[in-house]
Amino acid sequence: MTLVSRFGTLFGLVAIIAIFSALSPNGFAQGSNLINITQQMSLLAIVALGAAFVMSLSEFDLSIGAVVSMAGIVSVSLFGAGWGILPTIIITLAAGFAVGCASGFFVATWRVPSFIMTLAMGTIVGGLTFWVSGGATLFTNIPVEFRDLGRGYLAGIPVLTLWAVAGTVFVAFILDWTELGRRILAIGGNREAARLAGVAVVPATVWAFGLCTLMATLAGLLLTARLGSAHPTGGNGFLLQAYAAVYLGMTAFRDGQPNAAGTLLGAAIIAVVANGLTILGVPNYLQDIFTGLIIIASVMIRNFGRSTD
Amino acid sequence: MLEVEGLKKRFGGVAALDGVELHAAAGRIHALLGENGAGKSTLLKCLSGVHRPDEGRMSLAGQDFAPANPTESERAGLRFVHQELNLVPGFTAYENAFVGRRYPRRGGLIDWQKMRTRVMAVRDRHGLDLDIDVPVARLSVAKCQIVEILRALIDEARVLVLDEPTASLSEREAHILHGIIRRLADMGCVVILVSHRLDEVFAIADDYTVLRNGRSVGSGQVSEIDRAGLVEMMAGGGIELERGTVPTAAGGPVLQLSSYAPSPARAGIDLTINAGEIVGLYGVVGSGRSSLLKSIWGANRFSRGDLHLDGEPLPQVGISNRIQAGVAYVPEDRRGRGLMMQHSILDNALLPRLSHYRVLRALPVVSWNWARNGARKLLSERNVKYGQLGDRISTLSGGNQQKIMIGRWVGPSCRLFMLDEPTRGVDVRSKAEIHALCRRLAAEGTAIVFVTSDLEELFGLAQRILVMAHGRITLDAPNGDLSRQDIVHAAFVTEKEPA
Repeated sequence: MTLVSRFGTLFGLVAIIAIFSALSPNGFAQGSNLINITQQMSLLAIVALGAAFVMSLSEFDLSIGAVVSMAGIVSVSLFGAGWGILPTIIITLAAGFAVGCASGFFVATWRVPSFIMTLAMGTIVGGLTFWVSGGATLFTNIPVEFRDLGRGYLAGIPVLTLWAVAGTVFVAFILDWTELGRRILAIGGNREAARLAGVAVVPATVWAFGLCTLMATLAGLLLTARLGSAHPTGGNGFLLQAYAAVYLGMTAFRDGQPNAAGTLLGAAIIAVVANGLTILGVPNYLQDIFTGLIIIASVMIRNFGRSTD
Repeated sequence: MLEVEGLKKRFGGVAALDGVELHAAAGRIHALLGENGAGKSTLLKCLSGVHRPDEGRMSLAGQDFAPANPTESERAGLRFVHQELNLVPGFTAYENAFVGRRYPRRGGLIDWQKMRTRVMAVRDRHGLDLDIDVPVARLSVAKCQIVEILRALIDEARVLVLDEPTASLSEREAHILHGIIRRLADMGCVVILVSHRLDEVFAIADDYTVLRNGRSVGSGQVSEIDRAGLVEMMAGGGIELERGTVPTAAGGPVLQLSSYAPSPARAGIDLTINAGEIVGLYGVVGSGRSSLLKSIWGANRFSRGDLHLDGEPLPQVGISNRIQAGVAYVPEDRRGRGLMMQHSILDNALLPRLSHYRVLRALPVVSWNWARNGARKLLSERNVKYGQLGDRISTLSGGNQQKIMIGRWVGPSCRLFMLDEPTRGVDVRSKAEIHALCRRLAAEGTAIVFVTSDLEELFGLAQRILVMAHGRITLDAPNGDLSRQDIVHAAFVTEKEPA
């Protein structure tokens, strides 16, 4: 693998930052704005890092947007019912984890296509979330200590940024250093070959989906902490952007495999483009068009680099 | 008819073709021989317009032939049947025959009836035995091969190139295919046959060309050369033809099956395999040999009867308990079921043994330093030629891939080693290495069971030969007592006939 194909995406991010800095030296290039971007990208990064688990299996989980929303509604509802911070967090994480495990179980044992399975699961979760919340934004009884998990700074760095870094380290550790991670990647590489080589496909698949929605749940909790409220569809927008980030990340560092550092980079590219264009006063719909074009361009550059080596 | 002169092609610094000559006449079957990496595929790709040669010329019926792309090659009348099947599983044979072709139309819509009739006509003209209305997913590999040939014959073919067409076929199926190939040649077609099976070359080919290191090193009429002469040309000396193994004193029973059936429809099998034995398992495709191995491996959803390893009963299904008990299994179909082709050499080499390289015994965390050293050791022991551990395994030759697939299971605790077609599509040198490994493991007390469709390999490696037909074992005898006819007879007993 050449230097260009390994670090091309990183150079891309640097180039994008350089362009925005040149266009808006006093807005975009300010240190405070750059730190702000790391905060803006962090929730997307966490959801995307979770999606990297199922992408490593060569599967999809389309329920992650709904799970982010669910986490907010479940946690605020529990606070409303008088539960403490720690029990609330644990129950919410367990609920989110269970959603993925259920999807993973059906995908692994019944060979339901993950696309359909998780689409259905996401729809069910979305319905339940709406039901529990009554369709309203919930914002009462959220403890201040809980809110601090998603706002403020630690040693000058936004707390959310630290969460994203911790999430990246966690996912990198699981995928690269544990047998579970290697099994997940092996199943993604060739399911039958992995199975015949003795890899227990069902537990690894259940874990991958479970970890995926666990990360989405974490993002949902942090989103709620940051906003101080939860909306029943508040996390739905993360779904497509998360996969875009993983996909951008697959073009970096590793030859076509989902990886944690690359995913963080992918989320950074999406966040930088959004932030930069906003500062330049470009309307939202153009931002979407730009983001889409960047994803296409990165994939094309990668395939171009591959065919010539 | 098809002339190739002084063909050269370089990739980067490597000369894949370095002066290739090929003179193939119409109405004759021309065998193209050579070890893996000798340049056969590159030559075929020049013919098919995938690559453009750097130097040299090609001509067809006296006219210059320089296809810029596969369409031009096809228009000139060249047809390629590749080793890997390229069929759409859900399509029937006749739908597959028209993939990539202009469909016949009526009023702007596809004329299915006409399409089917045309395919049927081609099938019948060539006497192919094939149900064209069944989705190819339900056909055997042999039938799929016939679909591929059928597809190549829909439009008039002047040159038909067959790349290892019988690699995955049983003797009888190969025989049928040979008949088809002969008829095509008799109809005036140039047939180029790439094959690793020398008995096949002697059975049907008229002429031969041998490539080695990108050069033609010999050509002529098959009737004027013998096997040893061809092997020497291919190998450039140094490789001896394998002789049958001397039976060694076998140890106690390792695998014992009683009334064991791998699927509900099959009859029960009684079988004992002893330590240090090399057992060759032969049978036509569909005879149940692969399914038996897979079932012993615990990879089927169902099995019935008793299975004992070293006297201990094993559960009906489940792969991990087999691994624990010291069983190893190398499946057929390297690309589809054996390796993760997009992953690194390292990932593939360590797949079943990652837990050997834990940071701490109780902690499933990988020590990469240790794991890399383990992989390097494994690769050098198996004499695998590779660049870096991080390179994709797809960059290696078939022989090297196969050596990794086998080598990753080799270990001191191995009691029973099952290999399904371990040398298919593997060059002569790697094949000899794989055979040597089997002999060494057997000498150390491992029981070896291998499936092969190659009689030469069966006689060359096995001490004891099993033949299966219709899910039953129809022959079980020491190698020395058997003739070719015995094997073929046992493989083709009819279902009703007692073994």
